[in-house]
Amino acid sequence: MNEQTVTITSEIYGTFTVGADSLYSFPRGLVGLPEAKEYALIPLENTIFYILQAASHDLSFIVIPAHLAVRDYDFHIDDDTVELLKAKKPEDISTLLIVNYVDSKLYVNLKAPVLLSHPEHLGCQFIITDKDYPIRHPLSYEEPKTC
Amino acid sequence: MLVLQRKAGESIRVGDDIEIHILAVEHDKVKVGLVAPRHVQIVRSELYGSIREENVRASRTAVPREELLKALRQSPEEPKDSKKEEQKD
Repeated sequence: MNEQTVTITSEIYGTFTVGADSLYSFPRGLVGLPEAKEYALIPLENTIFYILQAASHDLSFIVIPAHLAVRDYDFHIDDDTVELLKAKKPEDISTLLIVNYVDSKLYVNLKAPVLLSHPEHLGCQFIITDKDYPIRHPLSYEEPKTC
Repeated sequence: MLVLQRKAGESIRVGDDIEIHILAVEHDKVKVGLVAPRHVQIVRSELYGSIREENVRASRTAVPREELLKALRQSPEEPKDSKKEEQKD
């Protein structure tokens, strides 16, 4: 377990030291924020949330695994994105939703989830075009189906 | 802004690897076909703009920790598959 670590500072959430296994490359960046191409996924202590923090830019997001936030959420990922993520099977990809805090309420972006591919440590923000999901959906916690 | 006039069936090239085909023109609608490398994401500008705004907003907002903890408290029990890897010092 003597892997390389990286120290990342977020203006909002403080300083984190993460292992290389927490880092993901985003070849396209996030939508509208193409400059940051590497992000760390950091579990937010005692919560079901994570921080998605850019490695070399001060950009941070709260994200939640989609299966904990919403039920019956499904969409088709096009071949180009599968190839970009170098995913070989559906289990290689995990889906995270970006959390927003507006007027004292929590929302998740269902229209453009963050996809992470685990074996290759690649990520992207995928815009769902085959379903009409909202960009701002109220977050209500869902009990995972598999307990 | 570069302005080009094209007819249906003609195309435009942007750089070496992006091609824009004008497929059909009907009344006030233009049907466009795009060929681009896979790292180039193609979506309608309105949608791109809304997602960008939401991203920028999310990146600038500090979500209060108590709100996130509240979301956790609403859960009947702690989910087993919420991975909580301990941060090692």
